[in-house]
Amino acid sequence: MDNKQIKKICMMLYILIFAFTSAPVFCGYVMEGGDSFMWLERMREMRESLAVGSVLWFPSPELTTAFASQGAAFDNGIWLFPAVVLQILGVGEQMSYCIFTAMIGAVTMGAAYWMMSAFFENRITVLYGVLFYMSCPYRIYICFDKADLGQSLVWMLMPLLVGGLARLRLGQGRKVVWGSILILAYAGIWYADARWGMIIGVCAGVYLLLWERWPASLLLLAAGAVLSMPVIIFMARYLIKGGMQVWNLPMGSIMGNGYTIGAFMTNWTYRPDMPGLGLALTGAFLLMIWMYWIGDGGKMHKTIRGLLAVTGLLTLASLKYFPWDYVQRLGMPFLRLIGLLETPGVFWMLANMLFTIPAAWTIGEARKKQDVLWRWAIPAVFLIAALATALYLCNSLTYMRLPIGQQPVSDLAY
Amino acid sequence: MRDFMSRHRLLLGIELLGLIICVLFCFRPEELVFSADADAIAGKMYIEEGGNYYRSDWITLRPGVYRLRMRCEEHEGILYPTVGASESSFQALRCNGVSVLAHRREIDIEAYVVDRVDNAFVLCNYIGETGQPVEKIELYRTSEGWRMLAFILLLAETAVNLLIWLREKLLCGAFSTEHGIVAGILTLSILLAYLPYCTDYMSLGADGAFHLLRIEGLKETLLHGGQFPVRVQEYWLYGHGYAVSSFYGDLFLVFPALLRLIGFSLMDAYKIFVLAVLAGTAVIAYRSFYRCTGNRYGALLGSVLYELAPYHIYNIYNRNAVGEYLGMMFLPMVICGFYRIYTQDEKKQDYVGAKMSLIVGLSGILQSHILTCEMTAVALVLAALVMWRKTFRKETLRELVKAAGAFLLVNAWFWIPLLKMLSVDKYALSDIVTQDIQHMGTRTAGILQMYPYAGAGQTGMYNCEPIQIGAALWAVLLCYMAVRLCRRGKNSGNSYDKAMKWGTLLGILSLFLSTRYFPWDMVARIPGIGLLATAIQFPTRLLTMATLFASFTAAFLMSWLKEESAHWEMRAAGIIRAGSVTAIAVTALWATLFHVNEISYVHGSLRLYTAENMGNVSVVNGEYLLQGMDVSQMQYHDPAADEGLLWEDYDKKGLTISLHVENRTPQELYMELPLTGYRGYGIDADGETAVPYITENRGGHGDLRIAVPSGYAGTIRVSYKGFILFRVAEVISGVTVLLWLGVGMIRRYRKVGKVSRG
Repeated sequence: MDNKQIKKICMMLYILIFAFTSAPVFCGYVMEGGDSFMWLERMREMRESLAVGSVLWFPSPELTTAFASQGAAFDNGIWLFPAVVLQILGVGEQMSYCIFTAMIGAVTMGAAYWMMSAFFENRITVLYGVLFYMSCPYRIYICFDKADLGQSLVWMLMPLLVGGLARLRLGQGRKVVWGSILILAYAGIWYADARWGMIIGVCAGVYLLLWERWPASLLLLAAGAVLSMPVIIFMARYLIKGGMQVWNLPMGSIMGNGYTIGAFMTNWTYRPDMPGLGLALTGAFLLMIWMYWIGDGGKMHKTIRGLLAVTGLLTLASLKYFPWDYVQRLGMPFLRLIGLLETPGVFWMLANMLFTIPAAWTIGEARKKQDVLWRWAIPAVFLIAALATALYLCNSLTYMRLPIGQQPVSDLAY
Repeated sequence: MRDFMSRHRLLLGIELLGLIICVLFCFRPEELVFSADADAIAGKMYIEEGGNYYRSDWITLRPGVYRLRMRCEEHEGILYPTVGASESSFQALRCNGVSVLAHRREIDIEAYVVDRVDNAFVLCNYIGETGQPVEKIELYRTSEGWRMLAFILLLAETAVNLLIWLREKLLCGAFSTEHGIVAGILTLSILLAYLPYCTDYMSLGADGAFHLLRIEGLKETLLHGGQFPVRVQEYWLYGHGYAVSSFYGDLFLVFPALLRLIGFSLMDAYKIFVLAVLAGTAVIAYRSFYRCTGNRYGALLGSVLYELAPYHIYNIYNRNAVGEYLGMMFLPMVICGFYRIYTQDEKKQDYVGAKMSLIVGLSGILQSHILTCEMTAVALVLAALVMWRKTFRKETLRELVKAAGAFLLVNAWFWIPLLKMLSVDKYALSDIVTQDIQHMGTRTAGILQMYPYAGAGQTGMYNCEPIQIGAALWAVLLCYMAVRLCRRGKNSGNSYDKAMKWGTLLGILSLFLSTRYFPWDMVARIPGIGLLATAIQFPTRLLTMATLFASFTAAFLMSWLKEESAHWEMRAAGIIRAGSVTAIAVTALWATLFHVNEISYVHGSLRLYTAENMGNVSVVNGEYLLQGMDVSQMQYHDPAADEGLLWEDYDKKGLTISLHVENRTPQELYMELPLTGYRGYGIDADGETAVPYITENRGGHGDLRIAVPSGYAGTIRVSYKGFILFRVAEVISGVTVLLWLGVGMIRRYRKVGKVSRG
């Protein structure tokens, strides 16, 4: 096949990946469950505040306590503007939510493509990277099961941040543009979910300093942080000074909500709020081990190796055995911050995001072999497995969850 | 055949002997096992808070089919007779019990005993204010068990003989490996699709009770004679009758009705029927696709995907939509006939034979499901118009006209009475077919729903039934589109391009039509064709067409890929081809396994042994009720006569009522009979002048109303006779079929003669 043909097939597969991994947005309604109702209310709150000439940047304590959505207390409303604007233009609440989530999905795919193409030159390896990123069970869980728009946005922005850093590190020209994207993406993460701004900032800082030995990059993160000062100040005030009792923000132990080792490997179904790697990523992980085991692993780029190491550390941090209780005892700011995370599972989410890059690399390495099995058959199995898992998760949700505020089954039957 | 018989004389002799013994036992008279009269029943009546009940002493029952007959006097309560056992091996005694509603005097129900039961008993609950009304209960052991055994033996012997014959053919090389693979995979796909009924229960879908009643009604009407072909089925609506046979072809239900007559329980008869339909669908689809493609494995892929398609399985188990899945059985014949007429060389001799598939297929669909027939007819007309250049070729037009003519003549016995019935009365149907349907279409997410959960709703999403074409057929369409997109240049000269292109396009178009995005409600407002649109009731019915077109595409896929890959500049072309087909087959297998297991595990189960247990009012939407009829007001009742009109010697057998009436008053008086007042009833009365007649107006809840002139005294007999037009239509169909068969035989005879002379 020539490049043109591969390009056409890839284009078709990208459409397929988007359709399969975003299936619930095509319902035209919002499903019950997760935080969807809270986000709809949040949009309504913002719309109403705009109508009276002000902007309610953060959720009101009433809304936060009513939906027990303390985890989203520091999610800035700036990201909700597109949906709110749609509503002001006359689009229905649920439809605007669907369009907004579809937009997040589409941009996430674009961003994932951008990130993967920073690491890989081969078009098919990039495709697999995007496939792994989009079909990751944790992403589907966040976007549709938990319906957490804040964290969905983190999934959208993270590839821009990683992609920007990678492009700068690998010296892929246009440094100003990449740097700007990186800064904006990091600022965007803060606005989307301040907890993630903090986690990603710390993890990225440690990684860049210790592994990449690249202190200058911290300036870019700092610039992003400067752009997100309103959120940082709002959260820092809480973390340092406390208060905000009306919000009833959590300060309890999170260790109990962590992962057990078995939960990492769940494929089709998973325990509530604990999605595993899924069939495709588990397969990629095993394939990677197998390839190294038989001595066919190839040489992994230092940056990807670094990401793999960070993935491992984050996985450890997400275990229920990781001593988060001790971290909380370091002082009140730590107690409040860790309490806000609600679950160590958030580190598993970050690990999932990052692991998609080594996973794609594994497929790329496998495809370098000349025989048909490695070049075509195994990648095809991965493609089917990833799409089938994503479809199963999405189909299960649309099958089991009622639309908000409407009875979908007509009285007229047959 | 003669060789086979001479070589296996001993085996055939033993088989015949076994069959003769069974058949002889079929004529054994009924054996009274238990009997209790009113006094005996009153003596053992136990009184409890919820109601009274009678329970007999222990009875020993040997394996066989039993009939419990109960007669009671006029009553207002509810009786519930059944045969039970306190201890027996697992399901040795199979009887559901039946509610005998107010005013019903007699009941005759079956009970099946498959292992000796020592402590069986007859039980009859009674809820009512008057004293116990039962006059007599009797339990008979019938010869139906022997009839069933004879039938099963016949089937088993046929199967054994076939296997032996097949083995001999295989050994002498008459069958190729290709044939063996095709037969094996088709059999496996039939068995896989049949998995939910390889149980001792059945899944009852939304339409299940309705179709089971159609079978039971047909059996009862055939049993009592009087109508052939059946137009109005007795048994329904508390014995009032329902004209379901006039509007809903039940030609193919004769098979399960015959199984019922042999003695099988309604559930078993239905399950055997489903197996036959699954086998029929697989074989017809394979034959049809093979005729189109000329590639055995391609046809096999198409037919297996069609057989295992979620919408097909859904129609069978989730919905029990008998009409629709029967229609799906014949659809491949229609597409095959149409394809051959339009693609074959019209100069070739076998061109004239292409229309046969079209005629048989369309006839099968008409006799199965009017709505599928409507969709098919519209699709055919549109396709003929789109391909108008070919349509108006002399030979093609001639074949099409012949096909349409033959179709109309052969089926005249059905569609002429149907139109006649529609023209002489108004039915609830006209209200139902004018409802908006757009909102019943699925959404985009519904199209992406590929896991065939059991479900209960129709949206295609939340708690949805598997209203989808399925992952495997999607894989076919996507595989085609992917390869097509990668093609270099505009035309590779692939001879299967057109079939693939049209199959895919029509499949996707049908999918689109099944959604709520097509403006169905707007179309419904177009005069003339609006009714055609709303008549389909749900846009999702178009998935039948989508499934068909996608399977048709699948049938061509292998041939198409083979020609296509000849242009590929890669070493692994063959492996990619095989891999694609394998992936599609594995996807189909996986999805079907998910589906059939989900049905077996989740879907409501039903163990129905006693047909009467279902009741007789499951008319679903009641499309064929007379307009204004209220089923909730109906009940068993005697004739309701005006004051002064005397009647006696009332006898009702099915839809035939005879009674003696006497009107001693000076004015004409009226009587309402417990029959639904469809047009077509006739009355035979004693006397020559001023005899009773059926009135134009109907009685309460649509009952048939008789006017009895002043001073009339005599016996009248009312029965369903239909119209003279019905007889004319039946003669037309009969003569056409006979002529057709005759001409066919003569042609065959001449052909054989020519060959032997040559």
